[in-house]
Amino acid sequence: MTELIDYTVDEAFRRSVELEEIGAMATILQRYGLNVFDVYLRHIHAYRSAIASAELAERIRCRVRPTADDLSLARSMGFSRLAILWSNTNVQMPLFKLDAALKAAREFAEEICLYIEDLSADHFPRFDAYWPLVERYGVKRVIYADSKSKLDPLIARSNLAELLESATCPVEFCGANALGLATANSLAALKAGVKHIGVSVAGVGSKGKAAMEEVLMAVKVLWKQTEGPSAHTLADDCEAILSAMNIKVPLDKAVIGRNVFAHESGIHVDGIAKNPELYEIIRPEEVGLARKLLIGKHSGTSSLKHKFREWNVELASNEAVLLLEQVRELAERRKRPIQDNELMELYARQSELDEPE
Amino acid sequence: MQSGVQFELVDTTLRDGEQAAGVVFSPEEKAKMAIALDRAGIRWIEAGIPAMGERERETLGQLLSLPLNAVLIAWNRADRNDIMASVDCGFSCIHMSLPVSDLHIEHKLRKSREWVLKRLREMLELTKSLGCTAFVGAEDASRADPEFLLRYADTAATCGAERLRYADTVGCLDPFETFRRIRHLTERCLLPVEFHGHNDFGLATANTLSAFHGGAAQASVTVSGIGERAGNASLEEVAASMAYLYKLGTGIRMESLPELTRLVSGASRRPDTHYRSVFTAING
Repeated sequence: MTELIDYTVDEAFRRSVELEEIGAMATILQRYGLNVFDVYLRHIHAYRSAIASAELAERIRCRVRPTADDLSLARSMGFSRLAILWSNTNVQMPLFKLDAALKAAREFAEEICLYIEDLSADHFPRFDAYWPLVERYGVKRVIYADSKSKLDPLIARSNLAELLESATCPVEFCGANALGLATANSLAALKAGVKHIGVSVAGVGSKGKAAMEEVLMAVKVLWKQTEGPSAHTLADDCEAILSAMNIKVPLDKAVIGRNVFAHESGIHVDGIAKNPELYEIIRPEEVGLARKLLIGKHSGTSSLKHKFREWNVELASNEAVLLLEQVRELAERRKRPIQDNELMELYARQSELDEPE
Repeated sequence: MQSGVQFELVDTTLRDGEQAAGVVFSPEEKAKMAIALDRAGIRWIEAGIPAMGERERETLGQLLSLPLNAVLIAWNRADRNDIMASVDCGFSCIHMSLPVSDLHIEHKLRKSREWVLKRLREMLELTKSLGCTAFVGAEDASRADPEFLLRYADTAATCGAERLRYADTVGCLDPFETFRRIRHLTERCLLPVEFHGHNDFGLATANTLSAFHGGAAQASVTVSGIGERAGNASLEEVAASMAYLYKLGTGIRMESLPELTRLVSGASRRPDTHYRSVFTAING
């Protein structure tokens, strides 16, 4: 079974969202199986007086740099689950520093993950150096962090498959989204056999993450793995979480945008009227959205006929052609779709003109 | 990876991009975009659909008169009136589209596979007889029987088409399936293949890169990925990925992309498309 690790809460802390609201976000996220919230120590530092009593704290995995400062701060804040950041290209910080950090972490942490950044895509990274440390300090999981967005899905799949062969502990994948490939790379990790994937709602977070809703629905719909959580309120849930962070959901945001089931072009509306499957791979109700058929510049005569049939008006073909011309003109002038009352008005005016004296 | 091979981008912001529900570009905005796309190094611009009406033909005629290096392409259903409208408008590059999945052939066209092939032959003959360059689109190719798609491609090649567009119309491919299917096609098809991806699962850019690895010669893109539903593959993301991940050019001048992004987001009144652009990611 796949586990999703959350980075939405991390972003909420970074944006200084109120603790109470973050708690509400966490409750929603848990509905989708996100039970571990990876949060960077410096994002949560300002909340230190309030966090200890919060229920949320137990679910936080605190991300720290491999320094004595960070570790003692994490300890004083009461965190017992840690992810220790390590840059693979660390030249100024030799490996014994990581060794020392792990040793210090072991003194108080119940669970330690090793978060390895800056792995290069082409030369397969030398994980050999890390495995002895993993064993010595009982590291629970190694996190392959593509924090510089260096992977495409084909490379990600082969790198991660190779890594899993030599791994002595479970592997987690967390990809950045600078090139828009984080969701695809996360699917690649799953294909390779990785069982833990870092995500955030709409991919929010510094440098971006894989979008939780995209990974969830791709697995459900494209790979037909139906045992995951129900997504029937996914769009609203994501919107609530994003709005707590003051982020507006883009209209065309894949899976959850308000317009991803909106159709305007003549060919598409005609198709949707015949069979929605022609132009929709997800059913709107699967994610709690509704289909919208808009009348506008790209409408065709069959879109108009379809629309008027909903109003119990049977539009003749020549009527539709004349009306369409006016619809297009109005849409161009207003630079937006035509509203129902405007369409009615155009129709009424046209019928008047047709009326014999 | 194909070293030294160019991946050509076909920008369809003016056609598929404007088809995003609720978006209308004014004639002036279209001209500005065409000029900016040209300046950015785009070689192929899918400019619009002449069959949409007189005013649209006027706008497209104005675009054709701009001094551009890019070639303007007219989008058409494989229909005589559509194609004649494009030719009358002044286009010499004709893209014609027919669905190739049984789902679309039966439920939308209410025709047969044989009807589709016959129609393709007739419209290619017409287009060629008018002295035009013909590109062929295979709508819903990702849900089509691969064997029928090959027959369709073969018919297109035999009748003089110069390019085959593989449209993942509903965005139902993942990057691995894309690679497998595009390689299957490019190994057997005589025509250069253009991949046209949609973003319903946020995979359009990744699928486009996989299509490249599978042997596709071209890709359809739009500025900021604007398009039907969740949009298309984004010009910025595809060009940046090719350059950053593979050190391969697409002929795109990266420094001119931010201006293009701003232009389209203003014209579409969708400042929020930002989350798709590498230059203005959701968290800046």
